[in-house]
Amino acid sequence: MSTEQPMVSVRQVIKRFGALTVLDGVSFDVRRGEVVVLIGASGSGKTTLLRCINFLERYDAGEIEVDSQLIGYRRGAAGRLAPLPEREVARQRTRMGMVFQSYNLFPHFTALQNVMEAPVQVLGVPREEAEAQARALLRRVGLDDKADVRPARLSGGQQQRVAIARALAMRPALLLLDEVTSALDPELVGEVLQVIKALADDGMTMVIVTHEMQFAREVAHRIVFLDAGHVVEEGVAKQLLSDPQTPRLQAFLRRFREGYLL
Amino acid sequence: MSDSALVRYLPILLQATVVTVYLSAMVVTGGTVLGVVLALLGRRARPVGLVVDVFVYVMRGVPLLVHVFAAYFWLPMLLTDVSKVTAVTLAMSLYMAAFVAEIVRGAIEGISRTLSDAARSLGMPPALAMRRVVLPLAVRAAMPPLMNRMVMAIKGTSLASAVGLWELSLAGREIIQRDLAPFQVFGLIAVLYFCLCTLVTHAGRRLEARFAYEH
Repeated sequence: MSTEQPMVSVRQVIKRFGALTVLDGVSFDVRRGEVVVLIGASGSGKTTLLRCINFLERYDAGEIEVDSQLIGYRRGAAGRLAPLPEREVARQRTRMGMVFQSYNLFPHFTALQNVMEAPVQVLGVPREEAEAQARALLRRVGLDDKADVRPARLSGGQQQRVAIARALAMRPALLLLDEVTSALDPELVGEVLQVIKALADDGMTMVIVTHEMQFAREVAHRIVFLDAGHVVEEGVAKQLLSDPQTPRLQAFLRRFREGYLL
Repeated sequence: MSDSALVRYLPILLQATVVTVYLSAMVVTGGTVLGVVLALLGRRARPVGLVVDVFVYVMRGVPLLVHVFAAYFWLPMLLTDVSKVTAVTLAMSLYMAAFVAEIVRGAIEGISRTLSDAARSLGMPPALAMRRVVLPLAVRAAMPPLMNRMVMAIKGTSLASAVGLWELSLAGREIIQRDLAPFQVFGLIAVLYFCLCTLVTHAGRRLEARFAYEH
């Protein structure tokens, strides 16, 4: 552990959906420029954890800090947490980009408009400046020729790359990627992973939920293994994947190799 | 007689049509705007949402004719100087708004949660996400039932004749009482209403096509 403040600090986070406890005291850190991959079986709480980090889901206990800022709550008297107003949470979210499994592009906007929308409407960036930036981002994800096309005319891989450009347009300090290749045809997975790999090489801090173990091995600095709402094992990516310490991770990786989870 | 029916009755009926068009425009505009506002307010927490719900139930559950009478007889008691047109316009706009509110509310709920998640993840506050993403998509989805409602509102303006507001159907009845030519006059009236409604339907279709996006 370095002494510098982590970019993301998750402390004893608990999240319940009714009687179901999805996250049961999860803790982990993400350092600046680090890529952390969350793995685990379906229902282990990976996606919920990601959604708690940008407060799309309200966590019930614990603390999540991004860049030393407590997310979704403020500390009141006697250390009690009071929920922040939605407007404040929205402001916090401008610092974190999120990319979804189902792309979630705005269908009534072109690719360019999708990328420009938040900088113009949320940050108040002048249109010309936002457009120039959006075109540069589309070029970066290899889609400058699709700027004026609506999402319905794009392939899944292209849509996902626009979604990544849209998230980057806010110049986030942190990028959250939620199973971004799970909805894609196998032949389109590569183009999206390539973009993410390039971001990692540029030093973007990312938390990634994925089922692509080979990709996790290549891109992750560290891997966190979740099982039934607990962090069961975490460590340096290659080491953790080739030499799992806990029986549960061993079983998970074995099942994975045998293809049950694909 | 039938040859000259057109010549004799059309000018006066066209004059009355102007009144009907004016009334329709007011009601359709007022009803739509108010309906969207109600739909948004209806999503609020208890006190406001409940008031909207009750309003919608009452307006929908009572015939338009009764609303027209109520506005015509009650409004002057509450306020001084309420013209016939104002009372009728108000009653019809509120009536239409109740239906529009339900149409728009349903359309908003039909917009996938994932899209508002995306908007929120980009740092959009709720009102901005509603204005830029959810509402534009919801209004597109609501266009066909909204057009339907507009056509009904146009035809509904004929009930203004019940309180003596001179518009197309009252003008027709006056002519019939004088000249006893119900077939020709009602025939003409029917054609005029039909033209109005068709015009609106076509305009609506073009609007729909213009704002359509592929899914």
